[in-house]
Amino acid sequence: MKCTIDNVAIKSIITCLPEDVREMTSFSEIYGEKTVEDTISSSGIERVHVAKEKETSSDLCFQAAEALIEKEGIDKSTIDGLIFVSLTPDYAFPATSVVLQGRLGLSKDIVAFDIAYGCSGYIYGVFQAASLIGSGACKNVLLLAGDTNSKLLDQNEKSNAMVFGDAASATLISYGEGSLAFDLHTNGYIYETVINKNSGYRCWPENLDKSFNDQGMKGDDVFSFIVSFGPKTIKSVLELVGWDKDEVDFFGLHQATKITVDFMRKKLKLAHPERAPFDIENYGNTGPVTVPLVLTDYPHRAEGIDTTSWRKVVLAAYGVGMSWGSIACDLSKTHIYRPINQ
Amino acid sequence: MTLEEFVENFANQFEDTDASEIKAETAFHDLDEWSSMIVLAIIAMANIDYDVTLTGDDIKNAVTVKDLYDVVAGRME
Repeated sequence: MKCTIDNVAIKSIITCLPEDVREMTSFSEIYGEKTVEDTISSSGIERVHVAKEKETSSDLCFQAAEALIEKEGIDKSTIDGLIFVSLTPDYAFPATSVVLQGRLGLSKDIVAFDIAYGCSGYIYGVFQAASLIGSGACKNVLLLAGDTNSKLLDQNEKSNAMVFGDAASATLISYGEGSLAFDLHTNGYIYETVINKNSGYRCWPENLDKSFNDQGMKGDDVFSFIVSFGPKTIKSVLELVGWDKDEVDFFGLHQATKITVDFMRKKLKLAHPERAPFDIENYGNTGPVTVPLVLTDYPHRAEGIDTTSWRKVVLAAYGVGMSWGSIACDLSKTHIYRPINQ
Repeated sequence: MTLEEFVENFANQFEDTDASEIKAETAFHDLDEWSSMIVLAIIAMANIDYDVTLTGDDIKNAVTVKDLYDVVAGRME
């Protein structure tokens, strides 16, 4: 599906990391020094932030939202849409977006719902927010995307514990000057590629005594999926807006591991690969937060980055579903804040 | 794509293993450095250099480098 939604802009973005940090070298005792060194060298991930035992994705999103509201001087009564994107909600029900609406003290005249997507979730969240604005239903939608992967994924698995981190984000998407172009895809024919069978009703009642985080992720097949469709969605959205890949000011690519970002840079044959940075040395794969995290972290960490020059930006992400997509947008007027606990 | 080129590209995905240790008939799963990350590097290499998508099962089912070359060559046709 491709479309352009007019009169909508990404106004401001902030991200929030949990305070606690886990160094990958701390795994040497379990996996051995050599294995840990090799894993760090391939994944590019040196440390991740980890939520406290009782700290949820919504707690981190709440912090991000409050910070954004304060920094931007947003009148809470003007927020008329709230979307929470996560695979780690507070409860099976009610929706966590509803819990957050009350906790944030937002108006009751608001539409609020959750999107249960992982790595591709930010793209889908922005699409949903833009759709609400494009339809005339809303003027200011708060998109909160966050995950505590340390609780979702079995930490006894090296491929989880040494790759995934926790984080959250808050993005304000509003009616205004500008447009957002989308290219979105779904492949439910391979839905079992990343799956948690223990939290739903398809496998009930056999799953009742099983651990929530005992789940299936076919890592090789996820990567095959990314190499097959990641570059294509970017080419597709570039075609939609008529931009050449080398005139793009910044690529906010989903940050799974270094090998994934390196692959995308090579496959797209970018003349300026530094515009598509790998940026999760300190964070790991944070699911739906990797895209807003690279947008907020990189300009505040790398030298000489001026986001007011980001007139042509492409965002792309791919993951559980399987689902994937990309956005072409202008972020030159977007207020981009340094991550909390960077 | 020749078998020799493919074997060379395959060997380039390893950091610690000497390229001379990897030949067409090498049972690559037995190499000390073989790991899940090398699997990803091989999938990326096949896509970038040959425009062929390999799956985890393709790599699991192949025993030698030549077996994998045959899969890639078959998909290029």
